[in-house]
Amino acid sequence: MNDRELLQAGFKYAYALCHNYHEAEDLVQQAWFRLHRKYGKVETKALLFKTIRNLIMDRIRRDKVVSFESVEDREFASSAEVRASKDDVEAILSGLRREERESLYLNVVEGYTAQEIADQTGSPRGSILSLIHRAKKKLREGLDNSFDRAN
Amino acid sequence: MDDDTLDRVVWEYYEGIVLPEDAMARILEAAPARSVVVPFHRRSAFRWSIGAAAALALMVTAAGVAGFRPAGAESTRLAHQVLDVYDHHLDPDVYSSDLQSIEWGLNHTDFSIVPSDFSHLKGYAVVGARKCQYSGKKAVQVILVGKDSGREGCLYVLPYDKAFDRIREPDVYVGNDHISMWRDGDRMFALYEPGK
Repeated sequence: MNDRELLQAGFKYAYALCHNYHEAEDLVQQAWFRLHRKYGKVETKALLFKTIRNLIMDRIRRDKVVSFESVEDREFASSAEVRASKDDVEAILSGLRREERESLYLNVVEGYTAQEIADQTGSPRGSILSLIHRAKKKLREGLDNSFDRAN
Repeated sequence: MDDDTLDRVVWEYYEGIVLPEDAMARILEAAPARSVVVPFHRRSAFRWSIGAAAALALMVTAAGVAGFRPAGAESTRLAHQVLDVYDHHLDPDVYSSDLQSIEWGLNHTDFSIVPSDFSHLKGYAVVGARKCQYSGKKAVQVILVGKDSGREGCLYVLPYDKAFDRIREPDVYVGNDHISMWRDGDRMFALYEPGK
């Protein structure tokens, strides 16, 4: 994975955590610089993710608030299926707890197993399975409702 | 909406989340200026050698523990199979808290995974399930999470086989872990509960 791919992956992960474009950009930049200062380069995606995660946890502890979504400047894939419901998906994902969104993202997009997510986040595997389950349940219910409304 | 469709919706959504080109260029350009010489103890070769030694020690220990499993009765065999499946920590094929929905989602299990008596599952929440095998036959591993403890357990469901008639001890302890087994019509259930 080259630097550009690593940065994109880091940005998506940061976005999954905070659901805010500007904050995600800031997080990935800060993590990137931090790893360069320490190691001279960004060696692995896992390390980049861990650094991003540590940064956002520091911010949450410092501010005692979880920053949620900004609905500006969004860019979306061109798939017809997603385009049809992108606002719904955005709204539902924004409504998930940060931990749910993070576990869902790592599982579905990055392909991590529940055990790998548990190792990465320091949570028990059972908790990760519950988080993925709850996230999917909320997403499924939300999408079903939006389809019902549309029809 | 099934799990695969849901996954695709999520995947496609995040595919559309991209770091703008100007931001990427800015980060990539600015980063090298911040680089410093890496101290020896942080160099990858050094860290990898420590990691490899730790992994080797862990594998030797794990092999010793795994090897220490007594053979014998059918209950022990089933209990160890349950433990083996659990130890792999494989993810569910279907996520749902409803066993009936899971049954539909798994397709072709050939038997129902819904127990006629839920008392054994008291205190647990179902989060999903996956297909697996027992003695070459289809089985289902239902993943459970303790409602209070958050600890992970699993329920193993498989078609009843004559061999299970030989089960004399429906409760088996392996270390602190507890496996209870019971017959439910033409199915066999085995519940794994991790020790404290």
